[in-house]
Amino acid sequence: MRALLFSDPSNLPKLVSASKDIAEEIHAITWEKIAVPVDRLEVIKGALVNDCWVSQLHEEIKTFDLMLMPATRDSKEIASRLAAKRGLPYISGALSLKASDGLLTTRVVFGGRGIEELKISMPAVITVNLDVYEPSFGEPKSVEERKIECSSKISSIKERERKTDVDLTKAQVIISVGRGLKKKEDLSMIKELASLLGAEISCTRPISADLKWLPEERHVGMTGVKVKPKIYLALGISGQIQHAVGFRDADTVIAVNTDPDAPISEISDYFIVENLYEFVPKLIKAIREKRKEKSN
Amino acid sequence: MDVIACVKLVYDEAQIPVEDGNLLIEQAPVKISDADLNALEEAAQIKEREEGNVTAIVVLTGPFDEAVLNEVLAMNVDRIIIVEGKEVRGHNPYRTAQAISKVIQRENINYDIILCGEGTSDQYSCALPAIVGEMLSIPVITFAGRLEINKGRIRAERYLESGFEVVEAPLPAVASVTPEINEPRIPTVLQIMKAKKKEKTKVKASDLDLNYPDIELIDMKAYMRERLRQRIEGDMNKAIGKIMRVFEEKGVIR
Ligand SMILES: Cc1cc2nc3c(=O)[nH]c(=O)nc-3n(C[C@H](O)[C@H](O)[C@H](O)COP(=O)(O)OP(=O)(O)OC[C@H]3O[C@@H](n4cnc5c(N)ncnc54)[C@H](O)[C@@H]3O)c2cc1C
Ligand SMILES: Nc1ncnc2c1ncn2[C@@H]1O[C@H](COP(=O)(O)O)[C@@H](O)[C@H]1O
Repeated sequence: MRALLFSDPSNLPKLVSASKDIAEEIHAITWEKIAVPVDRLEVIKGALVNDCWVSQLHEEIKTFDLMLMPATRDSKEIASRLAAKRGLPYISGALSLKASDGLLTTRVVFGGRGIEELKISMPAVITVNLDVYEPSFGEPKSVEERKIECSSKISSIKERERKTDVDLTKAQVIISVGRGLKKKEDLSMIKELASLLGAEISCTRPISADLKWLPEERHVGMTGVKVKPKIYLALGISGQIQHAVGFRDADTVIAVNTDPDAPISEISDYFIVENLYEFVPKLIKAIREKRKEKSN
Repeated sequence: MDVIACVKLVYDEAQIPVEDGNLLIEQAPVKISDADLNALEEAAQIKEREEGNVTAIVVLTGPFDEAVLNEVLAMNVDRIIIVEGKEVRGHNPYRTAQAISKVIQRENINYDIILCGEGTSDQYSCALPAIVGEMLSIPVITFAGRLEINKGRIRAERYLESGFEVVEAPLPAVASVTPEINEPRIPTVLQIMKAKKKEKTKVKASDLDLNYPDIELIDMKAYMRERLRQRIEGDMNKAIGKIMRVFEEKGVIR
């Protein structure tokens, strides 16, 4: 089977891992040179809006059995438009891929309460949820670089920011904050706790999207990152399903919430009914003391 | 300024009972897909600002509930078009998008902008708005956290993993909106009463001559994970002690 991969540079190594099991031949298209073990790497420059990628890939896709992209928001748009243009089946946010007289995929539904298995024929277009994959690095067999021009009815007025290197899927300990946090300044207390534990900080969608206290790439859940730490400490988080699906694979979930009936009580290992503003300083103190004890 | 809002009726995912690893979907109440409330609110605001009509289109891919249709109409929607029939049942964004595009053409519905939710509460494919745009050959703007309409053009802040992108396109266009774009109104009882009298047009899916690539649903299971669910209430020292022990067991405190 021949697969064509299209991805932003940062997600490409994981997308290669996702496609290695099912494709014999892999071609990849991205916009910065990056060392991934594919048969052919095409680096296309030109600061292109989604519209341009759709028309570009529309031609490239023709000779492939499968077109794979990461399940990012841009890719979801590009992938579904491509599938529509070519009349191909499209699966959004696949968790797993298996070839079997067509293609079997799984995906999460009902906000994270269910998982379904779907079968489609090939050729097909798929966006893959990459949170479970390790990146693959290596030299491509061949590389081609080119620049293209494109005019579109849609113009980009302000360039987007670049993703940073934070990868929450690798974190062993995660401290996650929700709307129980009252103001942005209170993050300093959370940061102090995080640094004591060598933890990463994550959040619910309202904290990043509505309040913009933390960058978008740190929100956990259905539309954010899916994490699998040893410990997920949820502070002031109600535990709506759209958030909870993001920490489903954590070993141990500890939740601190003032509301004894918060939904997170049903989906945590340790549910602590306390005010996070009292709990966190006490926990910081306890960790400091424990450390002193150990170093003596 | 005429607006079309695409609205899906879904089973409320938070209220689906689980039995032996199976989801008893049909026992859950029906609701408007969450982000579609934001699309409806945005449509109502555009209409209230610029004058014009709001048409809601609902393709009955899943459950039906007349009362929920009235809730749609109560959000200052002028009329609703319902596409029904076994031909559109089940999740297949291509097919649903085709039903919407064809019904817009067949019923000659005027529009300057088509608004959708970013993704549905049950499927979250985020595919339909983009496919509708392709099928109608109009500009597509997805994941808009803010919209402005000015002199026949639409400007949007697209809400992405890495931050915002601001884009602009000529109308007519299709846009999908994120839950952050607005605070959906809650219709009053009076508005819901009045909604009952508004126009509901039913269109048979079999009249739309749909053709689409198939997606076969093989299986569906609950995606739950059992947790210990130990509760510590009213004893801070005990809570801290417990958490410290868990940290040590997991090797988190070095
Ligand atoms: C299409 C769609 C997709 C979505 N995707 C996501 C997603 O990927 N990720 C996500 O997170 N959300 C997502 N959401 C939003 C989600 O439904 C919830 O609204 C959100 O997760 C709630 O965030 P929260 O728990 O921070 O806030 P709230 O629900 O407001 O909960 C705050 C909690 O803090 C507690 N609290 C208050 N004060 C204190 C205190 N002093 N100490 C301790 N506890 C306190 C309260 O009791 C409450 O339980 C999505 C929604 C939609 C419609
Ligand atoms: N059956 C439907 N009827 C009307 N609109 C729909 C339907 N399904 C999806 N949509 C619209 O398309 C958006 C994205 O849906 P999806 O691609 O399924 O995630 C939704 O938020 C709706 O606005």
